[in-house]
Amino acid sequence: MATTITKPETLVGKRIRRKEDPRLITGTATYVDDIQMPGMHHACIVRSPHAAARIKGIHVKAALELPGVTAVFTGADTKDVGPVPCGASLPGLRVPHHHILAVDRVYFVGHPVAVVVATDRYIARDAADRIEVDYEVLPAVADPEKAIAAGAPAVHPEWPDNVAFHFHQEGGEVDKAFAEAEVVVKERITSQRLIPTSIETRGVVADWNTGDKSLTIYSSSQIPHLLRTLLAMMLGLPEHHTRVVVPEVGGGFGSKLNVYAEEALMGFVAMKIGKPVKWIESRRENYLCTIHGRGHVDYFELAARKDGTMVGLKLKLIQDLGAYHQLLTPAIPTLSVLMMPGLYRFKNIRADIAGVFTNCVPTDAYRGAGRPEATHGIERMVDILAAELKMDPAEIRLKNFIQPEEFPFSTGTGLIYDSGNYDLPLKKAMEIVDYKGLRKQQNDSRKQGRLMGVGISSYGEICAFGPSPATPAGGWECATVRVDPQGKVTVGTGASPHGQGEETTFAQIAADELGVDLDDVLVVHGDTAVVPYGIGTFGSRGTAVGGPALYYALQKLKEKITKFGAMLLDSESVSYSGGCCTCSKTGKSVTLGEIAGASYRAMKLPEGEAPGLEATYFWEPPNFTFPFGAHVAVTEIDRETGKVKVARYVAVDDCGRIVNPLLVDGQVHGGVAQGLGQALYEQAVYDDSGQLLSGELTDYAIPKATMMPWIESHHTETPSPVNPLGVKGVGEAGTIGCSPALVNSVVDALSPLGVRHIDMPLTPEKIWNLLQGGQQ
Amino acid sequence: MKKTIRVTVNGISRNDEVEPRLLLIHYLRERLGLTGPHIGCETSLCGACTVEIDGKAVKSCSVFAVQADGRNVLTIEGLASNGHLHPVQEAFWNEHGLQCGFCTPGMIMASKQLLERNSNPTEGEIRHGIEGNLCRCTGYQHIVNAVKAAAAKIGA
Amino acid sequence: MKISGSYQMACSPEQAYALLQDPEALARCMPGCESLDRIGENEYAMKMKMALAAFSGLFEGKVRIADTKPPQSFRLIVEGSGRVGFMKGEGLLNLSAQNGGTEVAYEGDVHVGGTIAAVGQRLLDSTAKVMIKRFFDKLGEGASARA
Repeated sequence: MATTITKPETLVGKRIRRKEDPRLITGTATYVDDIQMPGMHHACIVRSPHAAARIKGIHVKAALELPGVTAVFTGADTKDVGPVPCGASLPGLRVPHHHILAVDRVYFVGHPVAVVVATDRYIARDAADRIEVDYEVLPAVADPEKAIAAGAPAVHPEWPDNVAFHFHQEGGEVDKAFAEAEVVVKERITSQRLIPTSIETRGVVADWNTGDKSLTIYSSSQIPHLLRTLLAMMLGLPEHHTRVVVPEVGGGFGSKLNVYAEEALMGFVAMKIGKPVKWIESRRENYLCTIHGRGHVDYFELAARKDGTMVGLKLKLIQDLGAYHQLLTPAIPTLSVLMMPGLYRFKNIRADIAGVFTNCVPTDAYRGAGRPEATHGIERMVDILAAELKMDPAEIRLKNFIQPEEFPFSTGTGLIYDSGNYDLPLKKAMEIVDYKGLRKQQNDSRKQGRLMGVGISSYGEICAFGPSPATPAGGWECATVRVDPQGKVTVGTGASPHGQGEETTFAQIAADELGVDLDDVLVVHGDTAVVPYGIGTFGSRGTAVGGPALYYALQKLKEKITKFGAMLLDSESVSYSGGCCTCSKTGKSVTLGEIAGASYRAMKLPEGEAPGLEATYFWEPPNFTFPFGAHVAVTEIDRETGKVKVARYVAVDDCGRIVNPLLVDGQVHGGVAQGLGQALYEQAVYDDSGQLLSGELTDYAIPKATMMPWIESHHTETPSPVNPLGVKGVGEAGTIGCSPALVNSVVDALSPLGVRHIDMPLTPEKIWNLLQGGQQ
Repeated sequence: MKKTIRVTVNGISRNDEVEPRLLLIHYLRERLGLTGPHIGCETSLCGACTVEIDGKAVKSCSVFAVQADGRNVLTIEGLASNGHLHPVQEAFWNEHGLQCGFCTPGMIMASKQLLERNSNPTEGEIRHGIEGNLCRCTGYQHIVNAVKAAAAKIGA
Repeated sequence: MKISGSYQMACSPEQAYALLQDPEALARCMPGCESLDRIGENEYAMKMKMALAAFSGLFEGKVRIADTKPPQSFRLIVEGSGRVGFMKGEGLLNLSAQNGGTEVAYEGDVHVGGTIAAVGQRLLDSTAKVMIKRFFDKLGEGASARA
């Protein structure tokens, strides 16, 4: 028997560099486009240049004549493949049939019309250029407010009003609150369409085994198992003959939380030609055909008393859905409604959503998914109210926060906030920036004619999606822990991390629980043939739902380990810690490796136990988690150019217990960058006829290194009672907190000019026009 | 109408017949199996495909393979030597300078170039130096830290 | 996109009008025009090479002349498509005698779609202006020769 090995310290809570990095920094990771297979073909997709048109004919002969071209398929060939699925259900939702290739009509620029398959990437592209499509161009509409105006062209002729659904939610006594209010402020606030822009575009490799009749799809996805279930359905395959492998994924941000036409299309092609086929999305296709985010026009009304106490909120929300529903399209604005009250105590809330079809690519989940829009709205409205009442924006927030003793707190939108101490991050942020000093500095600089602003956002978010009854596809997560005969540990998770670092954070959790070294734990994910069914990584759920699933699997496994330990030590008084089972009476111990070896050798088994050392746990969360925080942005406007300079950016985030502070900072930085992108730079622009004008990285401004301020990232830790790890999730926090802080700051800077609201993005041109006394 | 090129990639000399229109990035990735450099835009805007030609960082999606004829190409795969990571690689790892990792090979090559031109860059110089490489995950802050750390290591 | 402008030609309105409707002259003067074949009364099939931003491509389409009021005005309708997208344009050309020559004033609407719209929109305005100027410059040479 070995001597007891004690692990000196726990790993959870430590800044630990990532286990996934060695392959990524040496160029040896495998992304979809890195996959090569014998006989592999390449596909190129022909897409509509029109936003609305009838297809009168498709001429493919010239393409087929090109040497190296194997096949061309059009909508006529694929019309029996199941529609691209919409997983969201709402009362009365109109769901257009979404063919994987257009059948007789196209609905947005980029709509796939035909696919060319060739032996070589270049030949496929050449052949696609030879395909001629006759279109009868029809009128299109690209703006959601124009789409619901009288006389607008119908996106889907069967629904001339262009409305896919109406959704109403109400809590408390809204009319009474507004009737009794001493002040009501109103504003139209937009959250512009954004393009997620993962640096890796989408891509699919499909491999059909004609002998086994089994299909393997390699796809850059956030949801391997859901994708398998839905692809099997679309292609009419038995699910056990369908395998999805998600290799390394180069960013998703929600855009790969979906099931796309091309994924089923490549499956279809591989089955037809009996060869593997690869399709890699070009950046232009990515902008035209991968989902966009946001796309809100919101009309807010906030009612309050003169002392700044908020009493009620009304919202009319117009959601630009695009031409179709992708997986969660119609569900996204309902999340905005849930999040509307923010961190504030009032419960009188009324929201009406109109989900509107336009001749544009569908919108769907993009980092924050509905919650940045809501947070931007409420946090702008609070500032507008503060300005109206001539109150300090920090003071009005502190006055209205739900207090720590009120948790769990039932909101007017039917949620139960798990835990919070909302004063903490705001007060901490104010202290870090020296809020009082800043206001004084602002007064002084105004006297010198300078335009300096201080903006606060106190944000909350719904994370850890989520309890299954509240989600479209199950909200649980699964983990398997396997100890091999050497005593080394493999964790299989149903979460599908793609940059978040769960190969490290999950290894930290497992290493702590099992008392082994970090290097002795390997975390695997993403292959439906290797890990048990799981839901995936999105909605800040990886660690917050996948983590607890792992924790419970580890507890289950430790019970088994202890039973084997007791048997080997021939004692009932054993406990497992530090990687060993130790008898409290004799002090003798056996290591995990010895126990594992014995469990597989199985000369003898504890009563009622099976051989091997493995445990699986499916964990259903009892509630969402509700992270929160406060961001403060200090800006200065250049009067000559209208350019916004972010002088300071302080983020104080409370994501519950922190597993790895290094990675949490990384998530906050990246989140803030995307929030800042929305606030200052990014916008998907369609012209009136539905042409995407920001169709390339030249015209769509994601932040570059020089465009980012230094982010001062700090934390408070309020554990969540929802799960045993106390974690809440952090993936979306930065994005949700950022945009209102920046816009509040710029509006504050311009307030001496009478500016009360500016819609994003705050481009120099827009601000310069305001400085000249014009409209934005 | 194929052309023969002679090119040294990561120290290994090669002779290959290529179509004149074949992009260097496709030659590296598909002919040589060097899939470290990535394609993020095909228009030289994102920098994921950055490699070195004769010691200068270039975006290999906007260079034809034939233009590399007679030249020395270095990709991310050739950066570590004898199992030892290059200081820039090590610094990206230590400072959490990457998340999804897709921009990383290009970002590391650009950072290496930056440090060869300016061994002790300020934050502003670092940001300027990597401006041609887009990252959507990190907000660049940990990348800035990584480049600073690498500079300190190389200078030490 | 709206376009408008004017150009001075060194010939009479009658000559200018005739020149602007002469397929041979048009084919010669339109930048990138590879062929212009009459397919009907006042209707021509056109092949034209066009470059915009990083894209160049062959457009095939039709040119139609309508509302002819010689020698004062006519309407020009152009429609073309190619692998980088499509374009449609319609414009009214007004000719008036001025300073012994002719002023040709044009006003119209150009619409593009597909890749050229997504990528080249910002350059479209200036590209269109350059192309129109080149057209009239060349046509002007012909006019001077005739005059």
